[in-house]
Order: sequence, then structure tokens, then C-alpha cells
Amino acid sequence: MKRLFQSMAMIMFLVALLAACGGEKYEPQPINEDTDKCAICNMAIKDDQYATQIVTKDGQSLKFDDLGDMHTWMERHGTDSIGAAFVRDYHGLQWIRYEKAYYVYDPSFHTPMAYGVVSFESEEDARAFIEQMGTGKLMTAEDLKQHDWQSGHSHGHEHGGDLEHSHDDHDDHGGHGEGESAEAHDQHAAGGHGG
Amino acid sequence: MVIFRSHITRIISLLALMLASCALPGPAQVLAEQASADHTLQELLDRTEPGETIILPTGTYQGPITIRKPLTIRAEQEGSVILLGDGRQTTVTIEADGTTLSGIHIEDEAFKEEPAVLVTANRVLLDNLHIRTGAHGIAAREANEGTITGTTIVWAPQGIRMADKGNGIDLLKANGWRITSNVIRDVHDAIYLESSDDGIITDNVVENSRYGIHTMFSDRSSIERNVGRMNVTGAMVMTARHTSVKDNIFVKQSENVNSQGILLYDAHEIVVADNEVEGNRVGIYVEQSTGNVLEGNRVSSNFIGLQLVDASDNQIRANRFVGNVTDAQARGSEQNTIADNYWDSFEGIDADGDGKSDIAYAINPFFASVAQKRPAFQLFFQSPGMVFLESLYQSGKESWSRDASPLMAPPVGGPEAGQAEGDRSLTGWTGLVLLSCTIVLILMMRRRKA
Repeated sequence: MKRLFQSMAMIMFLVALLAACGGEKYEPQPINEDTDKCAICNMAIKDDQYATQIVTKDGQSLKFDDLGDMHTWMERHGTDSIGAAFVRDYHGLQWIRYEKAYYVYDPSFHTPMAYGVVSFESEEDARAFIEQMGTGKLMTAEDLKQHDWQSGHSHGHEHGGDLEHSHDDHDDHGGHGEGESAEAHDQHAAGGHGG
Repeated sequence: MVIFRSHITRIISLLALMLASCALPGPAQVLAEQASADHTLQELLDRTEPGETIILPTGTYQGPITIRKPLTIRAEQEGSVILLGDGRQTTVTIEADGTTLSGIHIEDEAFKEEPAVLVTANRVLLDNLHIRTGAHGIAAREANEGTITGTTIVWAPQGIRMADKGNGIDLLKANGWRITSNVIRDVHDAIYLESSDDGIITDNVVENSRYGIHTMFSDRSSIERNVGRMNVTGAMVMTARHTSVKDNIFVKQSENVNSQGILLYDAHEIVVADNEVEGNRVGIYVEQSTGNVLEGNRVSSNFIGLQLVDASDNQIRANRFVGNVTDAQARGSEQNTIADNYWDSFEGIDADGDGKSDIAYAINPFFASVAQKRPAFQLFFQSPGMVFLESLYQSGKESWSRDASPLMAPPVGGPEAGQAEGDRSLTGWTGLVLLSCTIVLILMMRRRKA
């Protein structure tokens, strides 16, 4: 009897150990439209193709209503505490790893915070989307690191505060070198043509 | 001679025409009655000359219609003209500058993407409409200087989730709109402005919607004298400059866990003054915002009166915080000027008798930081243990957000102050009367016993 008890305890210990090892996997949580708000802009999150999510290493789920806001979070807090980051397939809404997704950007795309970047699981779908919309730039997660994240309003009309404002943003983020921002301006102009 | 005669006939016919136009009720009215007889409304619009007025007789008309030339369309009797949507398309599309639409009921109740009314032209006046919608009520796209007034917009289809509903009024790249004295209920955002500058949003009532008034990427808006009830958030001002939020009333925004009276995010040079913010989860929430003035607001009976997150260079003065569970929470918001506010929960000491406390009201960042790190710990909001821990946490107190000169009593001059004073004296007098009655009764009883 005692032996049985011992072996049971052993098994339980092993199972617990295995479970602990398996805990490295980060699972995205479903969006709850009643309670989830964007960790950056505070807006309620719609359970749609624009929602994104970071699961931190200690298992906390941070949700965002727009990929641009997730990017803002990464700039403010760094990427060290991130266990996994997820975006959604534009059509199927399934969660996909941020690093593995394909992205399409155009300032004319209407996303919640108007950053204009949408995500796809397959490159084919992304290309088809560009064809369908007649505009858009195909990007990978690696490309997004170089992307000049502009919230939509600066593409619309000119107002006095705008230029000054985007400067503020650059100052906040700190990491933009001289050459990079020149490139960003070119991108901006090209985007304007497309829209 | 022939020429002469033709001249005469022309003059006579002209005279006749002028007479006729005086005698008859007017060409517009005639056209309208024909319309109700055997032509569609669209055919009538197509036949009418630009600039003319169409007065629609009482009745039900089938949409959709598209207005392609400047017309004035009114109901013969206000509220008696009903225009039905077809369940698929936009019911009224306005493409002509200077169009006026007035006094009409629009029933576009199907749940769909296309708005009930779509405006793509400038200087359009929408007046006294009543819209039942299953999409955006009124949408304006790259259309400037329109007016929406006296209009009611209500969400129609049942059982649709808040997140899937359309907005009451939805402006995109539409500048200089005047939205006044409307009533909007049960929609997604009651009034939403995106990339639309110089909006004037006054005297509206917005209820039971997600955000009452929501502006994004829109500068120089005036949001004044509106009333918001039971929304997730009363006024949400995001990525904006030079906006005024004054004399609004935002109450009972507490049904949702994320609700607040007024929220500023990435907002700069905004004046938030003399608003009444009552019974919300957070009264006024300010994040990533600079250069704003929060003044003379009455913030009462909220869970948290004022919440500052990474906000700096704002001026917060002469506000009244009364009956909130916590008057203020702040995190990462050291560089603000906070002065002369009345904090109900704060016990000050006024040795020099200038009406201001000599000790500062410092906002302990402990709970705000804990809740940020571990959102689940919000469960311990104001729990005894948390309050105790908070009182132990005093490190870096010099850098906390603080009101250097908190008021000892609520600022005088507010509309409620006088009334409250009156109430108090009335209570006193009533008490006195009751007391004297009791004494008389006791004395009488005693005498009787004796």
C-alpha cells in the first residue's frame, strides 16, 4: 500500500513537472468586447481583424485595438517582457504569431487608430488584398520595425499642430536616426499618392 | 408688325405667369402633390429645378433617394412624412451643396453597413429629422460646414451587440460642422468625429451608447452644454488640440468596467471647464496629455474622481471633488500644476485662515502602480489592507502629484453652493420646529399625569 502511494506521488510530481515545462507556451486570450480595452489608447476593443495581443512572460494578456498601438507599447516598454505577440488574420480572424504574419500598409486603410496596417496569415491572401484594394505595401514583421508609424490624421488635411505633433512623437520614441526619418518622409509621400 | 405682336404675346404671357404664380399655392407644392399621386419621390427630385423647395404632403414614401441638385425638402406637416429605406442601400444620399432636409421621419431599420443618411456635399442643413437606423444614422464624408439640428437618432434593430452598432452621427474628414440640440440614443458612438476640425457640438443629449461624444484626430472642436447619461464614456477626446469641453453634464456612466465621464488621451491645449461629472467609474481621466486646463469642474460620486496617467504640464485648479470613493489617482504625472481644488476626502489644516490648507494634498501613486502591474489587484480597490499598505508607502513623496493649496471648503460661486446653503438652513428650521413640538408634547403629557 505504501509503495503504491509512493509511486502515485511520484507520478503526480512528474506530471506537475511536465505541466510546468509545457507552460512556456503562450496562448492568446479571446477578446471580450464588454471589458477589454486597449492597453495604450483606452478604447474598447472590437473582436475584429484589427485586434492584437501581447502575452507577457508572466502570463498577462495585453490587448490592443490597432497594431499601431501594440507597436507604441513595444517602444515604450521594450520587448524583453513579451512572451508572445499575436495579430489576426484579416479574413479568418484566427490569432497568428506577430513574427509570422504578412502585413499590408496603406494610409487609406481604415483601422481603429488609423495606422492603416492589416495582417494576414498567408502571403497569398496579403497579395490578393493589395490587388483587390488597388493599393498597399506588403511587409513582414521585420519590415514593420523600420516602418514609420503614422496615425491616420496626418494624411488627411493639413493643420497647424500636426507637424509639431509628429515631432513630439519622434522625441518620445527617441530611436529615430536622421537618415531614417528622411526615408520615412519619402514613404509618407508615396503613401499619400496611393491614397 | 408680326414681330410687334409676338412681343405683346410674350409680355401678356409673362404677366399671366406672374399672376398665376401669385394665385396658385406655388409650383413646388403642385409638384409635391403629383409625386404622392403616381410618381416616385426620386422622379420628383429629378424634375425639380435646382434651388426650388419641395413640400411633401403627409404620407409614407419609399426610398432610397439621391439629391443631386440643391433643393429644400420639407414636410408639409412636421413628423407626418415617413421615408422608408429599402433594407439594403442608404435611404437618403445628399450630393448637392446647400441642400436642406427638414421635418421628415426616416425609417431605415435594417442592420447593415450603409448609413441611413449619407452627406458628401457642403453646407447641408439637416433639421428636425427623426431617424431610426440600423447603421450610422447620419454619415458625412469629405463634406464641410454642414448643420444637424433638432434631430433625433435612435438605433432600431434589437439584439445587436454594442460593438457592432453604427454611430449616431459619424463625420470623417468633414470640417466645420455644427451639431446642436439633437437627441441620440442606443447607438455605438452617439457623435463621432474623425479627422474633422472645427466642429461645434452643443446642447445635445446622448444616452445609452458606447461613447457619447468621441473625437479623434480632430482639432478646435467645441463640446459645450451637452448632456450624456448611461454611456460607457461621456466625452472621449483623443489625439486632439485646442478643444473646449465646457458646461457639459456627464452622469451615471458606470455600467461598464471601463467607463468614465471625460477622457483625454494624447490631447493637448484642451480646456475642460465647469462640467458636471457624476456617478462614473472614473470622473476625469487624463493620459499622455499635456498643456490642458481642467478648471471649475464638479466631480462627484465617482469611484475615482481624477485619474492622471503619464500626463504632464496640465493645470488643474478650482475643481470640486466630492463624495468620490477615491478623489484622485496618479501615476507618472509629476509635472502638473494642481492648486486650489476642493478634495472632500482630504483633512487639511488652515492655520493662517486664508481658506486654503497649509499642508498639501499628495496623491499616493501606490495603488495605481500596483493595479497597472497586476490588473487583477483592482479587486482590492479601497480594501482595508490596501489602504493600510498605501499609508505605509511614502517613498519619493516629494515627487508625487500634489495640490499645494487645497481648499478647506468647496469653492463658492458654483450653482450648487447657494442651493446647498438654503437646504441646510431649511433643515435647521424644520428641526427646530419638530424639537419645539416634541417639548410641548412632553410638557403636556407630564401635566396630564400630574
